[in-house]
Amino acid sequence: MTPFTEIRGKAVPLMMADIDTDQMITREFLITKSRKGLGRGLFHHWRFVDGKRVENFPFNWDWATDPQILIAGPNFACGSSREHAVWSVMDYGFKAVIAPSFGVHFRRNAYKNGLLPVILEANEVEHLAEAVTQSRGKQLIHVSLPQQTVTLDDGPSYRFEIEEEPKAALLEGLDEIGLTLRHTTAIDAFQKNDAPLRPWVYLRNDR
Amino acid sequence: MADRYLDRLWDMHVVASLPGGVDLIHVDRHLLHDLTGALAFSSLKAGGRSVRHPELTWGVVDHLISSKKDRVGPTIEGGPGLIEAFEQHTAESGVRLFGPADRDQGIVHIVSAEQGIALPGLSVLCIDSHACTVGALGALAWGIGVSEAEHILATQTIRATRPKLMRVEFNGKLPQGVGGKDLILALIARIGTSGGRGYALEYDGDGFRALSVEDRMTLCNMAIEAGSEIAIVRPDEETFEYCKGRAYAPKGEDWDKALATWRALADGCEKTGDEIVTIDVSRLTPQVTWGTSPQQVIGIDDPVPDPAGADDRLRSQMERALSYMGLKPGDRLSDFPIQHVFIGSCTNARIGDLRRAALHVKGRKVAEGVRAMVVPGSGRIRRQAEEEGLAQIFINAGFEWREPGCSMCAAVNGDMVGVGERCVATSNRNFEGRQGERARTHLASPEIAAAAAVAGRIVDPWRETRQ
Ligand code: SF4
Repeated sequence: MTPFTEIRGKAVPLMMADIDTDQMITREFLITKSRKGLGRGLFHHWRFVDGKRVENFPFNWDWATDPQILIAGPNFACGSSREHAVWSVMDYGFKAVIAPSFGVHFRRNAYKNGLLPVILEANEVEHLAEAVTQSRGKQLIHVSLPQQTVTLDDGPSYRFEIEEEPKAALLEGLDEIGLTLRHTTAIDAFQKNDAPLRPWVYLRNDR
Repeated sequence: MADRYLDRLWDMHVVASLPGGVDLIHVDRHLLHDLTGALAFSSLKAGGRSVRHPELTWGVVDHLISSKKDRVGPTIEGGPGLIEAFEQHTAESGVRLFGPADRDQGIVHIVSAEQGIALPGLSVLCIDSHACTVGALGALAWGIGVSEAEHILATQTIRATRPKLMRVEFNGKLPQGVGGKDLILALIARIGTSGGRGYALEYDGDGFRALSVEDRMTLCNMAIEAGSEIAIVRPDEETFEYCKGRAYAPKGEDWDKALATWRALADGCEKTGDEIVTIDVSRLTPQVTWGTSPQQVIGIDDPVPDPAGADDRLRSQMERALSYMGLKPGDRLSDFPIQHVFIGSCTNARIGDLRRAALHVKGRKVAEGVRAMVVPGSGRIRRQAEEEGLAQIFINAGFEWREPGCSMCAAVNGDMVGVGERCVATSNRNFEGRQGERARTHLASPEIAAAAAVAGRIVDPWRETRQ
């Protein structure tokens, strides 16, 4: 996993509430053997209708090229646990998503892939979205994970909370499986103690 | 320390406590499906790792498989390739697969329950957000993403934070025609699609306990539509009865021991929650969604609501949903012809669902202009329905009787609602485009779906007899 420390980049707002992952990436893009290249599927049917670009969709605004930060409405990416939603956001070029709240699966999946989900107050998110839109993307946003801050070029700066574990993992780009495998002794011990208590859990290989 | 059923379940699975409130949880049962299973295996192998416990891991082919008779005909581009890759990976790793040719194949959350893979007191993780379904058996179950599945394959554990608990009590006597689907839609209408976020939902109350174990699964299934990853139910004698004799359930002495353990586990728990929601079921009517979010619910005879009174966030959503669904405030759903009826999915495709649906179809015909299909949840259910004569009732009425799988619920197997057409579905998601381009989905119970197929529109089959 690539580590995340900080970025300063262009943001685009997508402020609708409760956008579900079915909208983010539709069925045709789910059929894949790879996590790569899904950016073209992100909001595809909102960006294009009948093969034509939808000009008033934020991703298609003339200044909204190569954004790195997505500013989103409440309960962003709710619904299905499809990790494709995170992969497509990252493949599109986003490094961080700022919203008042996230769908549970999306947030966890984001951490695992090195995408930073930032939770701010609704009015703070709205302020960022307005500033970015009014300046037509000229106002960049600086997201610092070590400081836990989101700062607009012309201020203000907002602080966000993040749990210790994902923060450390993101900062160092740690592979969680590797980390957990360090607990192999504990896993073995758990199973050894548990097996006589709950023998029905531990099916045999030959079943 | 609280001593609720959730806490007991959680505590018994903690392998280690990590910094930041994260627990390393032992995974007793791990399930994968065809849509993303191959990806999890290939990532695992790319990392030079192997499956730690293939005997605690199962694969099910459900999302991408054709539901046509004998599975013939095109499905979706790339689908067959993904199924093949999944078959290959599971075979190489020694993981049991319910594949296309397996007579017990079905939808993963239905198969895990009917095979006794999911049982009371077990932790059951599945690469799918409706993993919460089997919480109805008293299991600790939730859905995961591909990266987490890879983590479980390698370690048989998952990192997780204990959720808060929302205790949901359904009280009162269930009115005629009101069942699990109506209760869960009513709950989501009440707390909203993010109301359960951060909580596990524990269902209880006499209205809930009156439901069959299968119907309880319907309620647990849609916890994720209320924003909650986990639904749990303190198991009771009915739960144990349901589990007894299933393929992977313990037998003989092991069964007696398991039963004693489960009874002790469920006995004397604190019946509290960090949040408590109570719903009086005695006044409920059948519930139907009118919009594009599972919280946009009305009683079957109620008018479509007016966004004017709602707060800003809700209002814009409602307006968008009204236009997508081709409805106006004050409309009655019964005035709109429907083109599709889909009876299927992990929410409502069990034998009880098919029995109740068949009652409204028997001796009648599917209305002209309606394409209606029944997709049983598993091969076992399909066979049982054929033995009981239910299949024939549906076929005689003009329903398509299909092979088991997810089918039109996720519409990634070639089964789709036509562009802009209206569908009454027993599944769990009515999102824009979920069942096909511009498809208009109304979620409802199997009874309502069946009655709609016959009437050609959404009607209340008990209207005359309801006081
Ligand atoms: S039936 Fe629908 S909700 Fe259930 S697992 Fe299949 S696609 Fe998902």
